[in-house]
Amino acid sequence: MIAIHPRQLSPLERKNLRKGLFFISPWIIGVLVFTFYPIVYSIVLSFARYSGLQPPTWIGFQNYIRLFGDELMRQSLGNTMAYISLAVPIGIVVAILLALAMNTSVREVAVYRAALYLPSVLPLFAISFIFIVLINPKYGIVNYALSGFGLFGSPAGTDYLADPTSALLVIVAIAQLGAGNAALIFLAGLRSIPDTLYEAARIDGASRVRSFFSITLPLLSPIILFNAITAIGAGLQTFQQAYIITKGGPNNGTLFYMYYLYDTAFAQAQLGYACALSLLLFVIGLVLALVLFTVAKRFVNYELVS
Amino acid sequence: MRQCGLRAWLVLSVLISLLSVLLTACGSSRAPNDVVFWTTDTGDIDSQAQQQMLDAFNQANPDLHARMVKVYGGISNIAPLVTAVRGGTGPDVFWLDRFTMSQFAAIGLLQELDPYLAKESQNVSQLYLPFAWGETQFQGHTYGLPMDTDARVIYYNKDMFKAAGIDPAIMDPANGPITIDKLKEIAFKINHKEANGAYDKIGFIPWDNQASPATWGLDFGAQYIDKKTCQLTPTEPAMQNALQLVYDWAKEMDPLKVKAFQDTYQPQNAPPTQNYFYNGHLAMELSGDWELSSLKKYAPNLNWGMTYIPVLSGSTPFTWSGGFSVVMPTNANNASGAYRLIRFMAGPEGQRIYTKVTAHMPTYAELLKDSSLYSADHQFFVQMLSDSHSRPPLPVWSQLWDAFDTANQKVILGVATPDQALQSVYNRVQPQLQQFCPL
Repeated sequence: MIAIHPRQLSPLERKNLRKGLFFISPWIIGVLVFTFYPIVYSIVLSFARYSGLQPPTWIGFQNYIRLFGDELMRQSLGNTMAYISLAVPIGIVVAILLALAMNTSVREVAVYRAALYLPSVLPLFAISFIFIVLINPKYGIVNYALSGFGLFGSPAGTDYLADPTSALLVIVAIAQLGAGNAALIFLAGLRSIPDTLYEAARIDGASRVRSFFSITLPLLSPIILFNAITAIGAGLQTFQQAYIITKGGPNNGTLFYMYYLYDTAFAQAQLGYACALSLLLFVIGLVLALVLFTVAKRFVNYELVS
Repeated sequence: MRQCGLRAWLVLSVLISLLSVLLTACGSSRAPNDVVFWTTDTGDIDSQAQQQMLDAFNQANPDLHARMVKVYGGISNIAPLVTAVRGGTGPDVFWLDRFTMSQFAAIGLLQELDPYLAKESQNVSQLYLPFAWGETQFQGHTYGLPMDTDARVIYYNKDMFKAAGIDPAIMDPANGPITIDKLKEIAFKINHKEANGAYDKIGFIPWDNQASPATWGLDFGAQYIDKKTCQLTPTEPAMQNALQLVYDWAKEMDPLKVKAFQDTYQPQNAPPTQNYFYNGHLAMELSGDWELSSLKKYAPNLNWGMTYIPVLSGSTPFTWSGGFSVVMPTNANNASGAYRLIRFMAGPEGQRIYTKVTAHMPTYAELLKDSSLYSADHQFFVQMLSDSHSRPPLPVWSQLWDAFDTANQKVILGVATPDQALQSVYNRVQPQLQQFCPL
């Protein structure tokens, strides 16, 4: 390795640097004004009591003391973590299955791809409204189907929104309708795996299942990591389904962190406390990302990429 | 060279059109004589009444133009108002649930009306029912004018009673209020399940509609606060009994099956006609006088009756009253126009219209003596009003209500005892009250 020593920039390079900075200045200003400033402001506000309508009152660490004693915060965090631990793995599995289906070499594959991708085009709030009708205990088609197949031993007339646990599962299920986006990225990954690998495996006598677990999955691992990170990020911000279908109930079983934050900030008008909540979420997101990257070092295979 | 010039013109024209789009976004869409009125009460009947009030106002005040904006998302959805006022795009007048007024006055959401009231030739406070006026006060200032009030009763379906072999005459209010035990007996007789175990008929659900912890609490004599010590008292015996009633009832009926019944016959966001009381699935419902209008419109053929809310014992009828108000949010664009609209809506003309259309009752005391405003059924409520209870004014009612609702849900599902659930109400809301002590 040749050591590269930093050296002084020549006048021409300095001039080019200034020109370059000038050209990207709109973006820099945008980041400072719309990202950096709100973050700093939010951290400062978390040490105050502020309704947004009167000047803020400095209260030191009181918001954080309240945060760690807040039963509802703990419950909303627990609900969000439970949701992530279910929705992210299930979502990745569903997306991979969809991608495998989209990757079949039949003539009408374009039709299948469009059909499989279509649900993720529908806006989540619209799906939520429709789902309320679909899981009606007596007339809902989902209940009818599930009871007809004798699944989970649930008789007709089960209200999946009545119990906090099953309500959470309903929300996890609705989120899977958006798997099309992740599936497209997986599809791109699948198509970049050279066929020669599969041919070699077939010659060596590997079954299709074996080649899936030994070839496809390892080579898809960077994309799985990417989708896992984006899914966790999205999962930490789950809001719409709870707001529309369950309003956080029953018994705050579907009160997600973001919903609680929204209620605190905009309905209770307690912006200071909401800023403290958002800071905590940021720290948790950071920790989860670090955990994921540490785990990824062992499992992610970048051979295809390089 | 010519291509360069053409491209330059293209870029320039795109930039100009983008700039013009940007500038139009900066323009304000409010005329100077506009008075913008926001309401979260978006039901058919109520918004019709509100529109009629605005039309009457516009006719009487040709120099102003009042217009209504419906805010969807539930009647207690205050978030759009808070956000808009913060952003300087709030309305001039807002339709606010009166018992939350002091809480929102405390955070600076509402403007004092004292400067305007001082210019009046009469003492406006004397025009309204005392309990209603009391709810508009915070720290000695007035933050809105009372609109309507109401009272609560049990409505019952006579046909469902007869089908279950019960004589509806047992509910006749002439006999005084029914006891809770008797009502429970009747309700359980009417309960009916289908072959698969799901309820298709229920007698009464003591946590549905207006049967809230507040209702049962006030029924059993709850005080909610000890003013001397500035301490909330959610764990008082009255509230314990209120939640115990719900706890026991839910346990006996299986709360998941009751929720399934509710979600089947009256799911979320259903149209007003899809109502289990109107459609003969629920035999008894605890609701308010506004139901008279709804029954007339959505269930004209229902054979219904009404009686007092059940009591633990004794023969004194019980009911409680709430109601809405009109307020002026902070940073209102047209403050003087807003005050005129508030005075009109909360005045005799506005309240007259509202009472006639919605079957609520006025808080403008004079109008209670005008019997032409009340149908025969509605008179039943008017005569109850003088003995009606109400919630004590508190600057934390919105949070307290939510906390009681959470406690109620815990108790319905049986995941907490009434005492545990009420203790968390205290733990949640008392710190919020502390900043206002002494009251």
